[in-house]
Amino acid sequence: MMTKTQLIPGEIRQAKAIGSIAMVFVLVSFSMLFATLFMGYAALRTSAPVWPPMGMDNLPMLYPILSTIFIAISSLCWNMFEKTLKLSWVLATLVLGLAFTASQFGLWSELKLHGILAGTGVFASVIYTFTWIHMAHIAVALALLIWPIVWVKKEQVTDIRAVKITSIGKFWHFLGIIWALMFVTLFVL
Amino acid sequence: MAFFEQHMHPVPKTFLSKYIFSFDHKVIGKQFLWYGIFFLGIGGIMALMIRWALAFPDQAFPIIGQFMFPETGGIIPPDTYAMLFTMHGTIMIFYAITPILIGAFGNFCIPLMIGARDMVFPLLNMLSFWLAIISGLLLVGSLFTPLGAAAGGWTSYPTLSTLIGSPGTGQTLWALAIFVLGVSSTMGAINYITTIIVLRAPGMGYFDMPLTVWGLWLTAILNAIFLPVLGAGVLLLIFDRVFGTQFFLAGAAATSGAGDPVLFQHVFWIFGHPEVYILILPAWGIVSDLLSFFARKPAFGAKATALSMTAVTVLSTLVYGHHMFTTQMSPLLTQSFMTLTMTISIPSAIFFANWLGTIWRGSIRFDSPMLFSLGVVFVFGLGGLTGLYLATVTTDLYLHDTYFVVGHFHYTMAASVLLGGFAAIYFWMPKMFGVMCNETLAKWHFWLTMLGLNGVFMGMMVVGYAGMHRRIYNPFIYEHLQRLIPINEFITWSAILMGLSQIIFVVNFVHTVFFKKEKATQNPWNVGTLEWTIPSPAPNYNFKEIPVVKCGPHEFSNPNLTTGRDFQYQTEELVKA
Ligand SMILES: [Cu+2]
Repeated sequence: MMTKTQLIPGEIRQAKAIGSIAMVFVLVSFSMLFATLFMGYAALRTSAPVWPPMGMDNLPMLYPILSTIFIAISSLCWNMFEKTLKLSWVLATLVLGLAFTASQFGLWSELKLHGILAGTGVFASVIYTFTWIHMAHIAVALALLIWPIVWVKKEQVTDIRAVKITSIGKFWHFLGIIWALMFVTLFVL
Repeated sequence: MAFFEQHMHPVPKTFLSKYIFSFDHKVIGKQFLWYGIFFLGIGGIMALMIRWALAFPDQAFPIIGQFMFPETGGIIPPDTYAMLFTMHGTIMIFYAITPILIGAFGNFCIPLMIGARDMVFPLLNMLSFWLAIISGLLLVGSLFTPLGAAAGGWTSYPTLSTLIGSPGTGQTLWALAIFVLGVSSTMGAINYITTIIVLRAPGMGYFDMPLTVWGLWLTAILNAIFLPVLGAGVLLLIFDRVFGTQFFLAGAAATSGAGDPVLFQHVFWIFGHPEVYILILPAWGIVSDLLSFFARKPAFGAKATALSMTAVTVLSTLVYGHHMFTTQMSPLLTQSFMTLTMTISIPSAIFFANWLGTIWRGSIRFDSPMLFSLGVVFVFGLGGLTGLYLATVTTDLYLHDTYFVVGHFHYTMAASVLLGGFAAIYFWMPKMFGVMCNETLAKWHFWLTMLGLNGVFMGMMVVGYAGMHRRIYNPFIYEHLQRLIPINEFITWSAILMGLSQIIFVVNFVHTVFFKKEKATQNPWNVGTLEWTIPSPAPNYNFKEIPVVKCGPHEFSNPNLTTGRDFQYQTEELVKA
């Protein structure tokens, strides 16, 4: 649709503004999705007589901590990528994202080993549901990373694409923040 | 944003790129219009079946009954009755009103009325429509599952909607369909919001936008914020049903650490109350414009109308608890929700007074769009007033879940939105399809619809006040309701009248779109907003030159006008003495 690849400075400013305005509402929408989940969790937790509910062991902490480290560093790598537009940084982000995915699968199998399944109780339901939904978003974000990788590899980062890269970055950071909130509320507290 | 370089679309060559996978907001708008009218028909037939069962519970449904329910000899069975009212509500709200008002007219009107060549994200727009198609297929598919469609009401409260209440896949498909539709509408909403912010023609400030655009914009903002809430709710419901999680299970149904069925009600209504404004705001906007256009007067207090619609939008996010007065929430909360709900009547009264101010002493032209707009004023006034009895805790405890509620919300979000939708269809018909609907048929359509509609919904409020509960199959086995049989028959005959009068519309619409030869002129209604400065139907690129806006959308009957017209185009400098 956009026929021109390079824009004049005024148009770049406009493209950036459009990107930011749209992303504000995109992120508001996604925030509301997760906010609803957190609200439900808060309601269930505050109304429960004991927490964690009876019969629940302490949760395994290793994998959640690993996940936190991976996703935190990946966000830093992405920042470096946006500054330098170097292939290595976006690849690092991708690899760390995949490592995060692996650690989530590790978490799920660990939970299974402890006999905690999605139907084991409402706390188990919360853990599985939150991590599944978050992971689904991570999967989408990882798929989105393919475009910047291709663009950088072919050295075709146009102005419009630079705006798209910023938008993808915002989504990635957003998912990192959501994970941090999940880590604190589900596993630490 | 003052100016943004927009490129002209190339004219699509193939059938697929022109009519099916089109990026053009006008084509996508028409696609949504057909989609909505199709589901309006299905939802309408379901409504007639419900009404038939409530008036003649032991008689076969005419014509199609024998074929649909052979095992009962054409009589609607109880479980089917529950599916009918569930699907009627779901279809009308999400698959008829939403696509017509927001999908069709949102898409069609926004770029044309703000002077843009298209939406800012055309691809997103197309995806939004095709997700809506997938969602519609899921919903229609759910009708053919072994245990039938969802039957827990359009609100799908647990435990009716969990595996305990409805073990069939129909309910799962329902939740999935709603989720997909939510994604589709959110995509559309983000597109609308961004488009209105960045693509307004140079010179067009927010208060120079037609009020139609205001209504659609506020709707889009509410959609972007609150549809994800519903999305999360139905996602948890799906997980409860498919993966065995326990969010909405309590008591013996949950193994340990019980979930909470009422949690779903909270989530549902946090979304659900804004949803009624999502549905009505576009109609309010359209009516605010049309009243001025056909009264040949500037919209009275247009700025106040826009601001009070905004105030309603903000307040609508704070009042959801009024749907849950009977769930034993603390009196402090019920009082707060009641007060906040009552507060909404202040901004509503402001723009309602503005509507009356607009038509006051105007030289009104009673064309069909105006008739329908006046119809909206009437039914919305009635619907709004009866809302006060439901906002008040003391009266609501008696009226909760009666037909009074059904009558009330049909007046506000069914009748007024339906009439607003028809007003929009008749009004923008020339710009959409390049032809005018037959006025005589349109007027017959209006009066018969109005007659039937008020018979139905007024009757509902009466039987509800008399204590008739909603959602019960054959209420007349209860002794205290047996005296309501005649009035229920009256409601059903009114519904049949209303249903049949829609045939007039369909005939008129289909004939006009496909067979009418006589082309419409560029500006048949003599209105000054931007879409009437371009040919009918709107060309592929909308505006050859991006227009520059110099005055507001409602400049009528200015005594200083010397052009021989009684209105000004928005591209003209405001005439002063
Ligand atoms: Cu409400």
